[in-house]
Amino acid sequence: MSSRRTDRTPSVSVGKIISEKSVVVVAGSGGVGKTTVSASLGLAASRHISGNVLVLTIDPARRLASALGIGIDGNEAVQVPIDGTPSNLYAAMLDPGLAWDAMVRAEASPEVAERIFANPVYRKIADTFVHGNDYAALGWLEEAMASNAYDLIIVDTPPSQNALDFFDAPERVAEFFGSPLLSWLTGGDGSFVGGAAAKTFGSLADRLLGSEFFADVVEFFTLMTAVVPGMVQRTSSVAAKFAGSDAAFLAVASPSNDLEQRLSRLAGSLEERDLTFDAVVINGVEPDVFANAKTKDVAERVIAGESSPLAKRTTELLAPGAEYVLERCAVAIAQRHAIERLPADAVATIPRLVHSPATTGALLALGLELWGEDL
Amino acid sequence: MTILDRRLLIVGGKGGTGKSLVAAALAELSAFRNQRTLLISADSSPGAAGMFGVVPGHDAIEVRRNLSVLQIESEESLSEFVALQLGPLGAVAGPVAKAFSFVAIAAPGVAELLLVGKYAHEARTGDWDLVVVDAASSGHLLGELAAPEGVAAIAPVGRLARETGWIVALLNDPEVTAVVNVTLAEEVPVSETIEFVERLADETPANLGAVVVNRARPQLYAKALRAELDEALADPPKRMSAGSRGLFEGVQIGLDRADVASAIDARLQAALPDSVPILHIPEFGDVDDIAEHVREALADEMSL
Repeated sequence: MSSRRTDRTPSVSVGKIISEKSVVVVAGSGGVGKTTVSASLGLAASRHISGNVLVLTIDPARRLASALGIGIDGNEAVQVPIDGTPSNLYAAMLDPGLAWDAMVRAEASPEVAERIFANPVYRKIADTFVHGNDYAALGWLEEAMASNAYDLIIVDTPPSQNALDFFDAPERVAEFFGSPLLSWLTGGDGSFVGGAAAKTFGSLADRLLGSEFFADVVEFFTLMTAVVPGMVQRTSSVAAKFAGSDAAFLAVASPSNDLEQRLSRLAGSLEERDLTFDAVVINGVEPDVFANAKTKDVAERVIAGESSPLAKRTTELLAPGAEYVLERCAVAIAQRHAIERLPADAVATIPRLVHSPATTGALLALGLELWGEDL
Repeated sequence: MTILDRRLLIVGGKGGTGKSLVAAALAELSAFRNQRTLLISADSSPGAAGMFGVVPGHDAIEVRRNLSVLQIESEESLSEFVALQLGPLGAVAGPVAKAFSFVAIAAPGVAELLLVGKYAHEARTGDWDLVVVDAASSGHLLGELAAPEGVAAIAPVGRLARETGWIVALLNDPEVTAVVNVTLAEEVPVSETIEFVERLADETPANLGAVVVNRARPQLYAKALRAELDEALADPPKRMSAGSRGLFEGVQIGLDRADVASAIDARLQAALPDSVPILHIPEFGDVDDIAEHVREALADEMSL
C-alpha cells in the first residue's frame, strides 16, 4: 500500500506522549483493534526506549498472541523475540482466574485460601460479577509494577461496554463485598443471624436454590470478608496510579460518522474522573488514494463512459471497479471530516488494510508509523 | 421457512459486528409481516431496543405497529422472579428480593438462568408471535444458554432448578428457538463465529438458525472479465495522470478486499452445516439511513 497516513499530521506525536509515561492505558469498545494497537506500540516502544517494555493483553486473537509469542499458559510475562533475537519487550496474556487466585493467596492465610478455592461459588465469581476481568488485570498489574522490572507498561484493557470500567473496578469490588446486606447476611462471625426478615430470606433461598448451595454462598462471603480489604487497597493504588500524571490514556476508535459524538461522550466521562485522553488512534481509515479528488474525478468519468485519459476497452473494463472506488471515495472523505472535527491534540490514524497485521514485522512497522517519527 | 417463522430469535456476536442493527432489522421485518413482535435488549447498553426513539425499560413499550421493545438486566429479572415466587408475601419482597439478588449474583448460573428464563417466558406467553433478543456477546451468551442445565446440575433440589425443564425444552426445539450469530467477512470475527458454533452445539441445548455476515464484500467482476482486468491492471499505461493511477490502485484494493472476503466466506461455509443459511449484508458507502439499508438487505437475503 503506497499511502499509510492520512493528510492530517498529528500536532503531537503519540510516541512522544508515551515515552514520557510509565503506563499507557489503551481503551475503546469491542472490535476496534485495541490489541493490535497495544502490540504495535509495544514493539515500537521497544525500539525507542532502552528499558524494558511490557504489553499486557487479555483474550487476544490467536494470531496476535502468536505474533507476540505468548502461549495459552497465561499470566507469565514472556520475552518477545524480534527478528529472531531476544528484545526488551515482554508480553503477557491475562488469565483472570489465576490472577484472582494470586490476589487471594497474597491476602489470606494458606488454610483460608484453600477453603476459598474449594468453595464452588468462588470459581464463578470472577466471570459472574461485573468488572471481574478488570479487577483481575489491576491485581496482576499491581504485582508487575511493584517488581520495578518495566520502564513502560502498555495495558490493553478488557473489552467492556464502558472503556472506563477499568478504573472503577476496585470501588465496585469494595461495594460488592462491603454491602450492609452482606454483613447482615453473614453476621459478624460468619453465622447467619436470626430475625424475621433473615428467616424469610433463609427459607426463600432454601426453596429457590437448595439449602446446601445457600450454605456455600454464605461461607464464601464470610471467608472473603477477611481477604477483600487488602485486595481493594492494592488495586486502588494501581487504579490511582493509572489515573495519575504518570499514565497516558489512549483511546482507540473506528472511523464511523458518529466518531465525534462517541469520543466526546468518552471525554465527558473521563472528565468526571479528572482525566483526559492524551491521544486518539483511529483504526481502519480508508487509504489516501480514496480521499484524492483526482481519483474520484477519473472514477466518475469512467463510470459515465466519458472520454477518460484511458483506452476505450480499459475504460469499459474499469467501470464496475470504478463504482466501488467512487463509493469508497465518499466514505474516505466523510471519515476525514469526522477526524478533523476531533478536539484531541494527538490523533493518529491506521489505514484500513487488506490483511490485518499479524506478524511481528507487520506490527512493528505499524507501531513505528503510529509512533509518529522514523527511526 | 425463514428464521422469522420461529418464536424466539437470540441474536449474538462479537462487539463491533453490528449485532444490534441486525436484531433491530429482524424485529422490524417481523412486524412488517404483521407478526406481533417483541424486541429485547439484554446487553448492558440500550442496544437494538434503543433504536426506535424511546428509552427502553423493564416494561414493553410499543414503538411501531406490531413492534414493542424492552430492556432487561439480570438484577431486574431476579427481583421479578422473586416477587413471583413470594406471592402473598409480597410485602417483604423489597429488602428480601434485594438480598436475594445479591446472593444470586454470586451463584453460578443463576443470573444467566433468569435472563434466559425471561426470553423463554416472553416467547411462551402468547402475547407475541416472535421475540427477538439483542443478546450479550458470544462468551456471555453461551453462558446464558448453558445456564438452565448448569443450575439444575449444581442445585438440583431448589425451586429454581425445577423451573429449568421447560426452558431447556423450549431452547432445544429448532422450530421454536434459533440462535443467530452476526459476524464480519474478516479473519478474526469468522474464527470466533466458527468457535461459537461448535461450543453452541456442545455446551447448550439451543440450535443455530443463521449466520449473518455483515459488511460483506461481493466480487466486483464476473470470472471472465476478471482475467482480462487483471491483465490490464498488471500492465498499466506507462504515462498516466495521478487520477488514473489512483483509480488503478483503488480498483486493485477493491479486488484484493473481495478476494480475501470470499476466501473467508468459503471457510465459514465449510464450517457450517448445510442447513444453516448464511445471510450477507453488503458494506455500504457513506449512507444516512444505515438501518433501512440493513433491513432491505436482510429481506432480500431471506427472499421476503
